[in-house]
Amino acid sequence: MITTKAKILLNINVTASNIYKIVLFIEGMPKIKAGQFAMVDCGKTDGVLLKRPLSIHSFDNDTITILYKALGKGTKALSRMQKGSIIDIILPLGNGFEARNYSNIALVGGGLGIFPLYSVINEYPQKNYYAYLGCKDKHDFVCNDIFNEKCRKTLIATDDGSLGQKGLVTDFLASDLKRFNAIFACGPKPMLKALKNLVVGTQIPTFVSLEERMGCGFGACLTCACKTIRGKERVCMEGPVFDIKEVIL
Amino acid sequence: MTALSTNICGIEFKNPVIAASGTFNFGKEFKNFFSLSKLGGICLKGLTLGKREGNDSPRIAECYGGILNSVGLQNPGLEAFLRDLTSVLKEDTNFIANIAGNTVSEYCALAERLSDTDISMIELNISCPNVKKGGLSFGVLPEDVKNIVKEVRKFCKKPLIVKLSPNVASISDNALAAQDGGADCISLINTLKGMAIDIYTRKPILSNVIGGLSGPAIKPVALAMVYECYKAVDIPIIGIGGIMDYKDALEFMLAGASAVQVGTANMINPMAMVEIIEELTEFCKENNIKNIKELVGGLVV
Repeated sequence: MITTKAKILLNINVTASNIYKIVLFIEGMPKIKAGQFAMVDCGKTDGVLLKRPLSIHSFDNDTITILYKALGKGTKALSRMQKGSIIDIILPLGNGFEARNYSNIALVGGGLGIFPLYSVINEYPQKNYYAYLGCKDKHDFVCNDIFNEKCRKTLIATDDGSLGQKGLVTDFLASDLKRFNAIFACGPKPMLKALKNLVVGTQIPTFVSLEERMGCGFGACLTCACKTIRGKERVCMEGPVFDIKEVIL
Repeated sequence: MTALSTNICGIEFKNPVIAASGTFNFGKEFKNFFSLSKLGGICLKGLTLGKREGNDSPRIAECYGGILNSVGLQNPGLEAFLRDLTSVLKEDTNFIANIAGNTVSEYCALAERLSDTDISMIELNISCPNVKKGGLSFGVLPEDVKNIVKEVRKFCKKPLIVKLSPNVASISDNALAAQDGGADCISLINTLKGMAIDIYTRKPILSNVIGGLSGPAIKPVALAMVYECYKAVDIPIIGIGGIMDYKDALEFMLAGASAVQVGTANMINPMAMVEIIEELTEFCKENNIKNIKELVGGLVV
């Protein structure tokens, strides 16, 4: 991990529900793994102090792309930053998803949790992917097209049926389980709990990326604790990706 | 002697900038960013006899210019700490153990055991607002402060710092009580009690409901308290509270602090202390200050 400067190449609203796409240029980019995140400075306006932990959607040799929702003071301040601005950033952080040993991978995403899953396809383009993506309604979908393009199957589910199937992604995953030799998931706690119930009797390695309110993002402040079978662990260091069998949701 | 070198309770410090306990863990994480030998010292994560898991998440909430935390002294416990101590102490800086207990005898046991190690100093944490037993409960009434310091003093062979809480009737009375009990030094302030509420769910943001407020929001409060204590006691003071840059550090020194601890700033910018040290050096040079000790208590009223 390094602390460095990033130049904003693009920062635009991509949906009606205030989801922004930001592209950052970083000189001397360190090696990044799928599922890792960055601590992004949102400027020191409105009494905001902390950097915000934002997961990386895609990356190449000198840029990263992040999709984020302008929701609180910090992310709203970030959304107002202009192309060309220079911001502080710490990256890469956390352990990330390890896809190397798997060939048929299910990507299970809910809401904002869909965004980081794409980084797995970005790092390992040669695998067979099956995407199960769920949101409240059609306005929250911003990147289903790229999943559609890269995955053997992309199932879209919404709570209200305004796009794709009506229901929860986990409802549609059950009948396909035999196809996968790994499941990578990111999304709200209820979705992850449902997933845990679904895979508990199977031998499919299942990894979930967790979210928690964070302070430093690099392991020092111990604020982002989650419960695991080993006791409390840091989402930012031992995670954000945990084996679903080892994490208490 | 360099412009920033100083001496507190017989311990040489390269500079008066020390990492505050609880924002720096045991130092390792910051080695990703800089050499710890640049720092004056490091107050290690609050240590208890047994392992503590700490409170449930969320443990942090941001508020205007400040941060609330309710970590609750998560730490591996004394024995696990001692096993790793040799690797911690490899870095060329002063390591200060911050200790907390549920009872006076637990504090004594920690002080006794740590006195046999190569750590530089011991900081008595009687000001943590995030634990049910111990912590702050020993640090509110002056007679309790004096009593615990006196007891721990019997077992502590290292210079003893007492970290004071601002959540008290008179911090200078507590500073005097610590001095009377035998403290070599006081550090202040620990966090102020605070809370934040989500208006949509109507729930507190911290799972523990109330937490400790730190960051620039508390700096004026901390500065006034350092000033009051400086007038009251003869032992050295380490100033803590919302120090974000070298100017903040200098304000604390002018108010009477011999050194400062930097906490919240480390979480925002991991290079904060290194930048403060560089800028302090520059400041001394530009203002023809031979040694920063000249500034301690130099407030012109």
